[in-house]
Amino acid sequence: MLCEKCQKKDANVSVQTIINGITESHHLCSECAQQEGLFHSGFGLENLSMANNIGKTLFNFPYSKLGHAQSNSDALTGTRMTCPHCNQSLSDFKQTGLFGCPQCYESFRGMIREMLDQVQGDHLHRDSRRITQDKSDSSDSPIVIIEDKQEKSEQTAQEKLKAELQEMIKQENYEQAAIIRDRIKELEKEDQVDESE
Amino acid sequence: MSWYEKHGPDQDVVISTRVRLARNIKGHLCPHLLDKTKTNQVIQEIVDGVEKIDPKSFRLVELESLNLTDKQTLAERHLISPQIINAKNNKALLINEEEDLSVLILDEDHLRIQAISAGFEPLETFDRANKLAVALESVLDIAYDPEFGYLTACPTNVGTGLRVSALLHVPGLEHSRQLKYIIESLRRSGFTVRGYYGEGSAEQGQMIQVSNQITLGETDQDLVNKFIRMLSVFIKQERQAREKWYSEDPIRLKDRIFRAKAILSEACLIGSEEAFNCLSYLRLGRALGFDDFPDYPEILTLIYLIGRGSIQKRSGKTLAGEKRDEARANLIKKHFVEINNSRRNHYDD
Ligand SMILES: [Zn+2]
Ligand SMILES: [Zn+2]
Repeated sequence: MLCEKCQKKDANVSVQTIINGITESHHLCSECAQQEGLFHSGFGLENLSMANNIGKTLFNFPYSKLGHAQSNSDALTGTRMTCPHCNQSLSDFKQTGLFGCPQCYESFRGMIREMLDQVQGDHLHRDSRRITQDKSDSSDSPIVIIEDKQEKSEQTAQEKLKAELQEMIKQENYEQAAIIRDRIKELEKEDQVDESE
Repeated sequence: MSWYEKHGPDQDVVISTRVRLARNIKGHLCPHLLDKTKTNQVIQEIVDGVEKIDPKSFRLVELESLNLTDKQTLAERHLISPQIINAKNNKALLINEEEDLSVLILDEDHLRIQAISAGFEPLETFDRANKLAVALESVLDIAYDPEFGYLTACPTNVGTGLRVSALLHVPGLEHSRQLKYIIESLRRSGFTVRGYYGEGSAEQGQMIQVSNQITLGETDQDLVNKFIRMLSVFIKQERQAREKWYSEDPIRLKDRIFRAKAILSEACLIGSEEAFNCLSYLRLGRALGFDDFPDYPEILTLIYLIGRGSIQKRSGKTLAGEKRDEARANLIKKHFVEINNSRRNHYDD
């Protein structure tokens, strides 16, 4: 399948959006996806301590581009993704810095993952009690799914593990994901030690 | 006996340790979106839930039914955040007799389970809050996601929902001008540093609050342990700074401390800022082991009594500027007399 935007390269990123309850799938090449900001959220980390700044930094999140709006049109106009449980949109969130309901995390799962990586440095909760519990109560399908099907040829061990980690999270195998994530952290620590010596 | 009348570990530097666990109930809107009917419904649901697991320990305080002074008093004791004093919607607080375990209902989240201890006691304080949080999961449908953990209104609290904080008395580091560098390094290591009354407040009476910033990605226990490791270093640094100060400049330091004591025991008018600063020196005098200085719980009790809300609550009416300063001075004087009398009685025994 060709990329919807440039109509030249193969589409290897698929984006699913739900706008006012209507589901749409889009297929882009990785360059166009990057241009659309799907991989670069532009969160600033400067003002972490103030909760509301996260709402403000979220303003920079290119969620408007997840819809079918033209890439050069004004952000936010015409697109309004809402959580089906509380009817709040991400632009409501960016005003208050607060989600409308706990289920918003399911509704905006893809974007929240990326946001938490910026805000908390991670998006995978580690629970000292439930880490071995089964995953039967895992949630509904997320509203936004961004898949990168591109195969990278030269991957470091860390990159491989990170890809594996994403896969485990996608499969909702959180127990395995936590183990892999620990391994990545160990590798990162080793790297730091190597550098300092 | 209230928690602040008790002694705690490392109390020469750490005034109190607090742990807060944020939780929400699945199927309800977050508090800022609830209408009046729903607000009272959710409060009732949580009150009923707590009653099921512990019918005796807690009394219910509905913020709607309190006047401004009462609410200020709760904020001065860190039981509610100052931001919610003027909130439109009703909120509630379930609190035990010792005032060391409480559930704040419909602040930013549906529930905030709060535990507090005197001194530096993160593990024990966490355990107490966590026990209540775990028990509540059996009676309330707490919003939990296997990927993101406990779901909170603000993404800065998601995951563990855990905020562990300590209120530290740091005159030594402030005097040696090391404080700002230590605060910077704490911030770089993922800790939040704030003034005595929380977000946005000035550093008052050489007291600062330190808490974890990240709430997700590490287990609650790892977060608490990391906090202990970090703060233990900080506590040692403060002690060293005090020793150095006292060994290098004993007369001027003693002069400040004894002047502060004299002001507290003799002044006829005293504003809250001056009182706060004097109590800070009084505390330092106690830490340096000077004779006849009030003990830590007595000083903390005074700190809690001299707040605007507390002063007016005691006198039963709203007091304007100078009247309030007079009431404050009288209250402190009275306490000094009581403390000295109880000492004397103690020696007579
Ligand atoms: Zn393309
Ligand atoms: Zn929602």
